Amino acid sequence: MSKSDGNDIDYERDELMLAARRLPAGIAPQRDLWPGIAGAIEESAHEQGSAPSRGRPGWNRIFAQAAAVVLLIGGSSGVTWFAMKQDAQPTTVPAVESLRFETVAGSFGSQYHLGPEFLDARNDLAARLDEELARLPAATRIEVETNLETIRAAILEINMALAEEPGNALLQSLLVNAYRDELAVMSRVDGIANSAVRRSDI
Amino acid sequence: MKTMVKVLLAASLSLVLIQCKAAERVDRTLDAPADAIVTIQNTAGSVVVRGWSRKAVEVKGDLGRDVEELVFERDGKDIRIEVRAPRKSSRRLSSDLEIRLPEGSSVNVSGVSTDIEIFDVRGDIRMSVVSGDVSVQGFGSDIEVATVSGDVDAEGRGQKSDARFNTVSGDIDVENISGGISMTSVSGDLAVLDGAFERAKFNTTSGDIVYHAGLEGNGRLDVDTVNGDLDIRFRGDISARFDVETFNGDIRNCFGPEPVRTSRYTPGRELSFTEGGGASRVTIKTLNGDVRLCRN
Amino acid sequence: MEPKPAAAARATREVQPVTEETSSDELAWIERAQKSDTFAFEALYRKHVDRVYALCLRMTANVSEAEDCTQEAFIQAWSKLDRFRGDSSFGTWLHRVAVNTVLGRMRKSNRERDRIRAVGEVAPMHESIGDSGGLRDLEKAMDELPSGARHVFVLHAVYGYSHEETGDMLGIASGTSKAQLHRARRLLAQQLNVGL
Repeated sequence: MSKSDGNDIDYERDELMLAARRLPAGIAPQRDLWPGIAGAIEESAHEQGSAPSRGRPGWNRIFAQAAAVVLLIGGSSGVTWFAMKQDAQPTTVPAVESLRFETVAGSFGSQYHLGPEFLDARNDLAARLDEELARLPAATRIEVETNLETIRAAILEINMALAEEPGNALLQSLLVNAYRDELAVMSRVDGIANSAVRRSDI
Repeated sequence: MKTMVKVLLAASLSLVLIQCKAAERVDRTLDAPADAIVTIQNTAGSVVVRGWSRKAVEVKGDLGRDVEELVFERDGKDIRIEVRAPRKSSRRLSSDLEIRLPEGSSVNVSGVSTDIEIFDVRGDIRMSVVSGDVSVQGFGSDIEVATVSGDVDAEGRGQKSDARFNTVSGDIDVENISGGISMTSVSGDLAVLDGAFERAKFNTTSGDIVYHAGLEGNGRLDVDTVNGDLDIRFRGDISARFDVETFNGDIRNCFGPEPVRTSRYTPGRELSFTEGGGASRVTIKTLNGDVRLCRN
Repeated sequence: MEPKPAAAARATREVQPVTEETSSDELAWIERAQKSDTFAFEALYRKHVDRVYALCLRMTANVSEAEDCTQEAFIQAWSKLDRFRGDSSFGTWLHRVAVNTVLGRMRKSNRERDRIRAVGEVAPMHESIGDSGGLRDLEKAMDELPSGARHVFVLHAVYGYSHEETGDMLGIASGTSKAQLHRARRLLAQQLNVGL
């Protein structure tokens, strides 16, 4: 407002300011940017509607892609493995005795076992997962699915390696971590989907 | 548009309800203790929180058109700020809140597609969002952040705290904190710059991990990743026992000792050595990730 | 689009902003777009994209960044459309959304750059843009300005927002905006051999 604020530029005569004002207000982009925008807003406009229905559980896909799936299970005397055929129903886990989830503490190179409580939790969450994913915004659902496939691909890779070296402690440790991470992500989705429901019920 | 404000005064309860029928500006203030516990919920939009020296909480902002109401109430030390959504699902909930609160407060923020920024809050901080980005600067105490795809950016003051960060795909960048830290992501990249830790734990499936910080005497650094690459460069002195194992990855070790094959018939490599007095422990496990171990 | 003449401004006052009033057609489109009519939103897009893109381009000084920014700004505008109240023209409102988008992306990419620097990679160089004729030098010189000064120069000098408005859009004080303008002018004058 007053001259003392230091803004003593004569906008009518100043060469630089006049040149700046003469710059074109609009510049056409080199390509049509509308399609990218349309895609994003169409998705959000449909968010509230029903998500596309999905027949088979998503996680069957990763198994279907593999020639065989190797599951690590713990026996009382060391580690055994078995292969599941491509068309087997992954949700049916054959009953095997003495599945316990415990870390044998101590030295560098412990042995790990997957336990029945863990498998129950995993199967339970996996069964509910698709329904819960459908309640999330589309972009998030895709993000979560992609990342779950990343984890499951990792599980597969570790299992393949374990098939060659069943006793390898590093691989066992990585596998347990991967299952734990998968469970954590699925639980997180569970938590989010549930709280989203709660919020809109207030 | 009319705003109805009801103020009820009770012995220890101050309650202010703001009812909105359409997109509305908000500007309300409540007195609050210096160590208030502030809970903020905003499903979509943004939340910016700044600590100040006043003993009051101020909420300003814009509410989305379909927002049912903004709840802003106090019960003793607890302050609650919630953008309340109606029963029917709606797209027009996006609300932007600017909140100022006593810098000694503890803050708990949650949302879904909400960007969050927090400045100069010295109490504990907890944040949970799905797809929003999170940024914290100048925090003083413990901090816990969980996102799915949102990125996390945290900058401390070098103070000791207990920090936990968890994303699915969001990247996590942490600068200038100390004490204990735990960072987990599936595909997000993790980076820690500066600071020095007593306990540091990193876990990714495919995300890369950068650790350019110090490790205190008797400290522990644990890194687990399936496919992420690791770049570890210790700042300051490092005196530790190192156990590094990888199945297919390469190990580059500036400290000298070379990795050895775990067996003649399989690819795995391991590297165990001690540097200095060996009071700390560094444990690294990867499947395919490359490991670079250096110091400044 | 030609900027409005500066005739109305007095010598020591700032010129009028460039944006036009929201036309009645536009108001109709806005209303329909607020009810999720994507065709109406596309009409708004077609009308304003050049101005939004130009702002993004000048603020970021990078073509592909400006394209991403423009898209993100319109996507943001779509989700916040109900908050356009007509206090300003729609063009100005879109500019605000675009500025927010630029700043948000900058914060993100600064983090990315720090991380990349830490692992020894090189940050990408930006390309300079130009215009035909004598103004090409000015656009190029603007690209070289440090970001704070460039942002202020673009909003205040090119688009005619007041220091208060510029400060508000960038999240800085109007005094800081003035200081940044002077800095921009000094640096540009050196680059362009212009007397101030």
